[in-house]
Amino acid sequence: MLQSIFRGLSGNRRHRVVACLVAGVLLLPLTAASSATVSEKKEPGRQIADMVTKQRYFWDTVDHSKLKELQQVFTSGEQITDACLSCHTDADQQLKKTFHWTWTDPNSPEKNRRGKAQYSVNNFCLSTNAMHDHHCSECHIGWAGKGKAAAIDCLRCHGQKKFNFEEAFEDYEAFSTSGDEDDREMANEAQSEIQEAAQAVGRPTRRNCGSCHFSGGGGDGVKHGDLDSSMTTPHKSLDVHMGMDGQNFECVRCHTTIRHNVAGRFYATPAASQRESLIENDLSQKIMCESCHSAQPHKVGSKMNDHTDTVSCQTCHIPSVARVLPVQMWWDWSKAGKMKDGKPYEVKGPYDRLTYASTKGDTRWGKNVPPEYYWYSGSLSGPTLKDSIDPTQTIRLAWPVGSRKDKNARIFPFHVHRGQQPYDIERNKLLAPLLSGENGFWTTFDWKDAISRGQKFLDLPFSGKYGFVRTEYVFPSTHMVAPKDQALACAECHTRPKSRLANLTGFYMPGRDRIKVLDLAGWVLLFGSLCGVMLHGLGRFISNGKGRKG
Amino acid sequence: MRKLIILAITVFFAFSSAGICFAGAKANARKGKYTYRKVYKSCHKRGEVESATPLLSPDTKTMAQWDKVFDKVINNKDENKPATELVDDDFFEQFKCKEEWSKLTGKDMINVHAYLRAHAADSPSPAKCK
Amino acid sequence: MSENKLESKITKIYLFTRYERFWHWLQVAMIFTLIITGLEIHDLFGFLGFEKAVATHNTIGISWLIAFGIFVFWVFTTGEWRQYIPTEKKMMAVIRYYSYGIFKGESHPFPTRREAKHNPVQRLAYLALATLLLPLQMLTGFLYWSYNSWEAWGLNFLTLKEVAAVHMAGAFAIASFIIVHVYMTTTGHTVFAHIKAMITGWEEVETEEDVNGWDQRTH
Repeated sequence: MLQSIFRGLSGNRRHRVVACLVAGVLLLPLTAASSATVSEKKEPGRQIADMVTKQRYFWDTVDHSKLKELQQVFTSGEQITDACLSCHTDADQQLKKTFHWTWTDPNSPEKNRRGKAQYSVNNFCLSTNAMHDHHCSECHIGWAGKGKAAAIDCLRCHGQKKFNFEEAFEDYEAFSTSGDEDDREMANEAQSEIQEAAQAVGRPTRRNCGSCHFSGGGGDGVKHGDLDSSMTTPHKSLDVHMGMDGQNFECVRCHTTIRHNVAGRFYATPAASQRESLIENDLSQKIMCESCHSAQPHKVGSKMNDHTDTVSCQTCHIPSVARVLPVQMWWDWSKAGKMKDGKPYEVKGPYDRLTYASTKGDTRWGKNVPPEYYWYSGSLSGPTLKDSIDPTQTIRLAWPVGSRKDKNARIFPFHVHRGQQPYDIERNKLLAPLLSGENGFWTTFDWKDAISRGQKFLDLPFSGKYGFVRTEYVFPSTHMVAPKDQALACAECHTRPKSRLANLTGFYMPGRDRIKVLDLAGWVLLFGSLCGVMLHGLGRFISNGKGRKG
Repeated sequence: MRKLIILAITVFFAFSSAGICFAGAKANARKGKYTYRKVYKSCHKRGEVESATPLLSPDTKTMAQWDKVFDKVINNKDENKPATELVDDDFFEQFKCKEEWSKLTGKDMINVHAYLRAHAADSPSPAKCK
Repeated sequence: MSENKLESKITKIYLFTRYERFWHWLQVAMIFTLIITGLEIHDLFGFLGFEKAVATHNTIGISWLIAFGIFVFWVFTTGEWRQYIPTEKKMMAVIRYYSYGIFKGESHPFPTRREAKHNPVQRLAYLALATLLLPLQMLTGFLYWSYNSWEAWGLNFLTLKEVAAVHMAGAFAIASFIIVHVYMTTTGHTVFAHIKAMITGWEEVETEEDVNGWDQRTH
């Protein structure tokens, strides 16, 4: 009780803090002041350009360009990987156990495994058909999109040079086999470029991670809403942590990586098993806001601190997603396959994005999209290709797990991607058509054939009859954290009827909720009182027209 | 007489198709890519341009636009003609690095054009220079 | 016209001490602010903005709670509590006066005196207000404010909806009281006589009438 009174009286303390700050500012060393004025003079664009090009700082004690192992002639990606492993002996064994390689959620039931390589299904490119769809494997971290059969492509995550190895190997091969002197010179040129790129290694940057995660779903910003190529070189207003004019965080700054195991949620497995800050455990993962900001991140006495047991930081601090580039909102596969003059075609719509493609169907895009809010404990659930569905309902392929009663759950923002996709009318299960390749739907435009081929790769049956069912898929919005002055105001939620949390029921929220009968009764009472005294006054005025008394 | 006409037509076709094949064999886009990059690498070393990356990526123009820029190159028959004679001053306004371009021959220019055209904006594989 | 006659009967008595007057007007300011900010929190209009409205409501609410504690102390140490002891004597007469006599121009059956500032209806109303309504409002307000500590205090059986409902009902009741209360101030011998008394402390009262000696203090 005393504690909460102190909370209420913290105004004095705030004043003290302000006084200290003023004193601190006065004592700031001149150097800091002068450097501040220098950076102020530069235009924001120039400032960002400087940061992109400025020397990156590493703790590393190895200059990879000096290693003999990386100065040999490389004719294939596998040779580069071998060179890496000749020093980093256990890296491949570590990596091959991780989710990034297996695309399998190890915590899912053995008979119904989740993961891209397994029976999971989404409402984008649906399934990888047990990684037989090579288009999907382009993002797998093996060389040349060959999936798990290939050697690990270390440079996909560690390469610091944007470089097309496949093309360079081809060029080298072509030039080096020719006898022409010119060609030999060019072969050397190609090889030295390969070596230069192989030597430029370092910790993964936003560009490395983004090469896959920014274009999930087959294009820039298709999937997440809070991840797209605008995050490669973000401004502070887009992401207060990663902003290059601010903290300039790389992904791995928060996605703590231990033995190649990158912290993060996948499917039903939460990113962290418990809420703890680095103050409580300095070796803790930095994956949650709380890890650095603690559970009471606001000023002492701030009402916002009282919200952290039910409202996630993201809810208020990510007012909208897709703030720079658009995000896909809707993908209707049932419209795919239409032809114009016997040929597949495309239609471009707003934001310079396709709204129709014969290969993919109808798509819709949005920008500055406000998230939807649900209770979330850090785990997502949904049916796999093996689970039965009720096609009369909208199928929630990935949906937040949690409720108000769950102590670990918080109200959390989500980008929700909706659409229609094929399912087996007789078996009432979702289907996984093969999309890319010469037999895929994108070439044949034959659903039935593409589905039977796709299902066969997964060893799953297909009745031959398919229909389309509405589905939705959520992405927790956790990136694109806006600067604090852009955080949601109280009244975005504490209001009616347009509260951002209007869909969450079962609890009373000031401003959003009211007891209608009570309010009505209250206003009747007030109105009645007012009428009563007015009538009384009128009575006095009329009856005592001559004077008040006597 | 009739035979002569047939012969003439045959000879014409043989030559023209050979010419096409010849030209096709000559234009090496792969080489063109390295030649094009080399221009800017040395130009950057000399200090005229800020970056070693070529100023114009293939995907900055359509195939037809590239054809227009390399108009004289396409119609040129002399492999060893200096590049300066195949482009006008307008070209260097856009591409800069006149010193390096001057060292290229007609053959080099055909390759460069082939590379740029192969990865133009409306080509099957538009590309950016790195 | 009859004012001359009236004035001759009027004497001034010092009815409200400086503290009492201060307390009254402080409460006026605080309750007014609480109602305005409370209604904004209830999303009836936008004025300060939700965040500032909540902060203001909380600060004023807690201040009122403390100030009310001081008032209770004052009431008991000065013996002023006696002014609030309810009585049924003359109660009917007062009710009859306000519902009938006042229209006829009758005199108030209970002229104010220093020893008895409030008439029986006032006593009952103020007593109910000070011992039931305001404490209830303060209690529910305090609970509302300390919502996050309920679990630690073992108050988990409460729900915010219940507390909010009682707090809201209390607010309506207080607002209704204020409407009637403010109107009643106009029923003095002039429209602003009572308000003037609450500002200056001096009430002008008619002295000639006998008060039947009820509630006479025995010394």
